Amino acid sequence: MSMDRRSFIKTNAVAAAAATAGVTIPGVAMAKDGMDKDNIRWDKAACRFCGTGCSVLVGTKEGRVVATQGDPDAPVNKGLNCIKGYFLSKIMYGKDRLTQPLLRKKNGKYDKEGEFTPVSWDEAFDTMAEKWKDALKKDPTHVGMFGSGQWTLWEGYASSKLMKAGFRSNNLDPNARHCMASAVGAFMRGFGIDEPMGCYDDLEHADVFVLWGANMAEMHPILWSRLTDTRLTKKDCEVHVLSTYEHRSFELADNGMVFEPQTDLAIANYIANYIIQNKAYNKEFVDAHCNFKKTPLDIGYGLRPEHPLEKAKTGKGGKLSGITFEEYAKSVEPYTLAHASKLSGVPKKKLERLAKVYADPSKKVSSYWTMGMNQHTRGVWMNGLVYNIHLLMGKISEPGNSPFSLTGQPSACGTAREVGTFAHRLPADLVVKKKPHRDFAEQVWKLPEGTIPAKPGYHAVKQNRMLKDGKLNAYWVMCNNNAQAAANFNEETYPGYRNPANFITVSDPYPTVSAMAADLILPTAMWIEKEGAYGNAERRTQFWRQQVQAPGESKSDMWQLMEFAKRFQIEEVWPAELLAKKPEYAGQSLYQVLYENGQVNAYPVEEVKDSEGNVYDNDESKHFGYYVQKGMFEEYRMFNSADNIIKKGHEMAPFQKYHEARGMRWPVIDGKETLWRFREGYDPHVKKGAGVQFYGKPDGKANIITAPYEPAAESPDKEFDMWLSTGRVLEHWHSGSMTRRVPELYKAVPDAVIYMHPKDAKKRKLRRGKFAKVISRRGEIMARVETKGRNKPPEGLIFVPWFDAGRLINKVTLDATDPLSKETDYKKCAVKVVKA
Amino acid sequence: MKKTMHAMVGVVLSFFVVGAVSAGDVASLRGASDLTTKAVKTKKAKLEKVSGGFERTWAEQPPMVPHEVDKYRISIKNNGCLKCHGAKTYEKEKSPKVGDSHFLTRDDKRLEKVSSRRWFCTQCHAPQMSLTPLVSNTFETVGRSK
Amino acid sequence: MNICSVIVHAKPERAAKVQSTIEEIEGAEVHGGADQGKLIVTVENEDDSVMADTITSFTRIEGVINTSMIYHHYEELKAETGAVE
Repeated sequence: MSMDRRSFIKTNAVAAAAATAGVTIPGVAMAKDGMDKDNIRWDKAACRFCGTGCSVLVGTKEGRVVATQGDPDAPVNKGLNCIKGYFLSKIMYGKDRLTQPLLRKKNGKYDKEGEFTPVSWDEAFDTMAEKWKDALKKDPTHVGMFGSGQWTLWEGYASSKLMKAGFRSNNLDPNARHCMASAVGAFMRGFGIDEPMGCYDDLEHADVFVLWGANMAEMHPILWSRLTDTRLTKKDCEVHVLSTYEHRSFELADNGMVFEPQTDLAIANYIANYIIQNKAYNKEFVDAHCNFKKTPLDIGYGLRPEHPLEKAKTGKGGKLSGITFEEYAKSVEPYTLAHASKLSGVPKKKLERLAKVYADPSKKVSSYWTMGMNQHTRGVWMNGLVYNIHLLMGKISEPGNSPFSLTGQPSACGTAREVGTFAHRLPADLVVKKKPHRDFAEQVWKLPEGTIPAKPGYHAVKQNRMLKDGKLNAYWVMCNNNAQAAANFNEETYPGYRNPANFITVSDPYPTVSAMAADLILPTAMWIEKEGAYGNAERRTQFWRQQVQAPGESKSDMWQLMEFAKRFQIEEVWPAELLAKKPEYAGQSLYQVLYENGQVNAYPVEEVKDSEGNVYDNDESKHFGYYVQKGMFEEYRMFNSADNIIKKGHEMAPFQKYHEARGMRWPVIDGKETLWRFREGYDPHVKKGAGVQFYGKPDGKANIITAPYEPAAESPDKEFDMWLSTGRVLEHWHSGSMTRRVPELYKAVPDAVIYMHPKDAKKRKLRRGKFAKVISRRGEIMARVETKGRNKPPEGLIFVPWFDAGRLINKVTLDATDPLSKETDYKKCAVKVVKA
Repeated sequence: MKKTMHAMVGVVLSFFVVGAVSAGDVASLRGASDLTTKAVKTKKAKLEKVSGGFERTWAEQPPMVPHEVDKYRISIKNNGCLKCHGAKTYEKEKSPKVGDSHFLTRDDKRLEKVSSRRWFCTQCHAPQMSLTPLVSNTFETVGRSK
Repeated sequence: MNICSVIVHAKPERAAKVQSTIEEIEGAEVHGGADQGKLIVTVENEDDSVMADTITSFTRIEGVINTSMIYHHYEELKAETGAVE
């Protein structure tokens, strides 16, 4: 953020002249915080959409957002935004914003079959609390919450504390389960600590880029713009793109490869085999810094236990056992060029070209991936196979040599992973099943020993199954649209939400599909209607101030969580034996125990000001009487930065620092961020003289874990003869609840279409632009056929995006998951396409 | 009105027993269509062509594209958009020139040609279909656009 | 440090040429506006009189209609790299 004085003055000079002349110089004209000539106040905020974590400048006037633009001072995006990011100014202004709580009622009373009726917050919370108390009486496992990688850091933190410590239920999972769980699994197995070792600076440093299933051109456009810049300006730079269909990222590909779904496993193993056969591996690095492991095979597909595929499996779980280098080499030996090419359908020449760049010690290679590899029934394996390649070559943890797991959501890293909102996790990589970890969390939270249950809660997919089975009865969906996002809507999601035994609450700014499937809808303050923080994919934590007021009676998720906690006496949620260990909590509300604990409420309300002296609102602080966000963040910091922490490596700076900076990449030690982890000279945690140290593992070594190709859960057959892959489009964010309310984005891509090969369309007598049905064993939808658009699938595969509430493709998808990460495979199931 | 619509579309799918529920006056982007119906039918739309281009709704908004783009390709070597909008061609083609900001590198150096970080025009600019938005948007343009 | 900014109004058809001419002048930098015939220019020189001469010289470039100075900032700098904000 610091700019030298000369550029600062010059920017002011240019801004003044440009404003007078009525000339717009994006990135310069309004490039600073503060007030411009038109009385528009400009301030920074992190983008609301993807995991890239661009910074935007938000222009407000008279209490409304009137403009947004790329933040020229942000290292991530340097003044650029993608089309969605530019239109952030309009996401809060859809005409159908919810402004008061809505409860299903019949004859003046709550009724599961009633109609949505406006009620007060008191009535809403009274009704909800009653249902939660009923469920808690059965057992705490009967309550649950589905949270979000789009929550602010402190909202995630507050929810984790409320659910795990307050209600003593680990049934808290974020939508990041659908998104990053496989990446997390592989980080923990391979390195013992979550999140990428490299950073976005690799985009300028690498010689070769390899996209493993990722379509960065549409899903991470600003990183794609940096990659494009490097490809087009750096001599001999190459881009390799792997995908199951051709998409926009192929426009920049020197080596584009379309492979048969699931055979990425074979391709990665072929590359490892090539490296070993050609003795290209970095022996010194491998000897010093790597262990070799194998993992159980044939582990099933995360379906319900009675499913034939689950009954047929012979292996279970992911317990690693040690092997030698020779055993590892032997395990990849079957993956010859011929074999990999035959399985994948990728020409030998192309595969070999890819293997060669990895094996060339003089080329710096960065690999990027997201949902193609994560939403995969072998997602943890597949993430690991790419780390194997980088580890074999020692191409890791240094500028340009980077295996990089891109993140889907703006704070999947910050909120879901770091803060610990997964069903098995606690803050800062701690887990509920380890006693010392629970003890530590209980100490920080000043709670009696034994408060946090040891058993991991229901993960996302299991939550829907348990709702349907009536084992999860009081359920809160916050900051996401899981009825649209979860796979197998007809058989799992919808029956679960509408099960008469259940009470479903959905908090959202807009009437989403999930809201319509709920019993109570709570109107929610979004994005810059509250003070917030996100953590992006390169470990960068970014803050923003509250810019405007939320409409009507909308309240932030933070307010909702804390206010709801006030409705429970500690005696109603904790057993007497537990309370007896902290008798001073008797008679207190859950709110008092969790949030008025002398830590969260330790910071008085202060005037929130930018460097220009503009003053900002903070509705939560005003309501609760203390600086809520600061209190939550500082308490959270006790997990990652206190002297007695269990796992080092997640250190963060004090609260106020982030309001001043354009984000900082953790670990932040002595005020300095860390760009490349595990490498001496970059990462202060690495011991002097060690060179490289994977300190997440006790012996400082990373794991190379062998895993074979195994088939997908459901493959095309005679009746259901095509693969269905689902995903996003550039113009819409996830389920489209925000972006489809922006006229320009809606008109750019109004509805989801069926992308298919012209020959496949012809065979089925389908015409471009006409409706067709996509049918699986689970359900069907209708959409128009597109044979010429931006995505060009090979014969035998269709791609349908999921943003469109009007055609819920998740009625068709299969809820098969990676048995290790529990993440759904949204990229592979079998369908047929027929004339509508 | 809405209630009768619900009665009409409240189809109960055969393989599970949960029926459609009515929603009062609240509607998702599916409109009156219940969650259990297969899909909302939509009209086929044409591309919106506007001579002189779309108005921006605030000064820094990337302009939307008022014409077909299907025939213009962007690859490593060629950029179909710049054939008309490039610094050397826009006068001859009578097209708007790409914005000045597009000549700046990541480090704010000014180039003769469009910076390669802005090579893929479709990241920010998109054609518009001639459709009425599903729900209107109350964003207000203030005085300083253009 | 002595910086000022100037709007240089130029005939639209000559604006690109005017821009390149100005860019050759020492201490002058064009930041944009050629599209609209209103070039946003900064001029830097420790000597006020040299700065004034530079600005006057713009009016002599063919195609320039007039110039107007908008902003002027002068200060003693302790170290050139001092960071703000």
